Amino acid sequence: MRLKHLAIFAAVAVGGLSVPAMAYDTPPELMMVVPPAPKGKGLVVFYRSASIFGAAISCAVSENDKKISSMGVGRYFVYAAEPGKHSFSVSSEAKDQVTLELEADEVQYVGCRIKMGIMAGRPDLFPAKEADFRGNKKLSLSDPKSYGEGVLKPEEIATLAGVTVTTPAAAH
Amino acid sequence: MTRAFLRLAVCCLALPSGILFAQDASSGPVQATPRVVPALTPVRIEILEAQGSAISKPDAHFPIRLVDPVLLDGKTIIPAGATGEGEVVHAKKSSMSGGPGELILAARWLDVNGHQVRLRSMHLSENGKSSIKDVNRIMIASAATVPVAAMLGWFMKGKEVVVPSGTYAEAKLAADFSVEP
Repeated sequence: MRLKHLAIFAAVAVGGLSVPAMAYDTPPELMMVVPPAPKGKGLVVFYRSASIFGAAISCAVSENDKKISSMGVGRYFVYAAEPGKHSFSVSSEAKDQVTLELEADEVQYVGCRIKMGIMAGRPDLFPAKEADFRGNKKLSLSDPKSYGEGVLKPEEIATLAGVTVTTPAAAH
Repeated sequence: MTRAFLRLAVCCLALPSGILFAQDASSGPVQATPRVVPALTPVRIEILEAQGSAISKPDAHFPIRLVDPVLLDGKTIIPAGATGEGEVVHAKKSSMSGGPGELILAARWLDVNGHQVRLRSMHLSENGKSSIKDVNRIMIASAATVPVAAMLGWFMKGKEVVVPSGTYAEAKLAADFSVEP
């Protein structure tokens, strides 16, 4: 029992001490929904699996040092941008970056995971495929309060995907 | 009988002139319509130079070749073997703590009779085998028992991505490609 507690403590503490406030309840109709890209734009779905390791660390994704949004455990968000090369980064005690070629009317996927660091866990961005994203049974949208420019809001996702939301979202 | 011959004669004279009239009204000078291979037509290309997360550099270019000809109405529009260029979009070596190598390649263009036909959507994006989960398990287990041993996981690396020369990949034409008939 003691070992189990120590292991959980180690897994969470690796990420640091601050717990991000990510308690946005996604309407059930929008769980794992990825809409088609708005006309002429490319979409990137950023997601983070529901792993306990480094749970206290948030994946805060930026482009050109401008924050796009952040994700807690088991969350995702959808970013729309002009076609072309885009470099996205996350940083903690070290910076990690992934560059994508966005194509008009296409969707790409980027995962975020926490690697072991020296003092704290390190967020790591990696190119992923739709199957990797769908391999996560339940991912919720990240909190719209953390959305920067270009991130699709839940109501925009619903409109583009043609989904009718009957359950109002709630934030705790 | 004579009337019947007369009617036939009138018809024979009128028919060709009617056809001629129809042609005159519809065309004027005859213009050839260019044949168009539409944008997003899939093409299969071959990567002619080995790429890898440990050896490729972002923004570097590499040679490619069209594997199957692009056909339109059964005629070859772009022949198999047409050469072109691809580009390394993202390359990252495997890293400590089990991070795998990452590689994203894009097809840029094919040379067709001196013209660059732009390509897109070559989704050859590969990640090496990640050891991050193994490292994390080691780290969690050892932190609970022998904390110093947790640091050993930090030195584990993930696997690199290797794309050998001769690898096939799918791409698409980025725009309509017109050919004079």
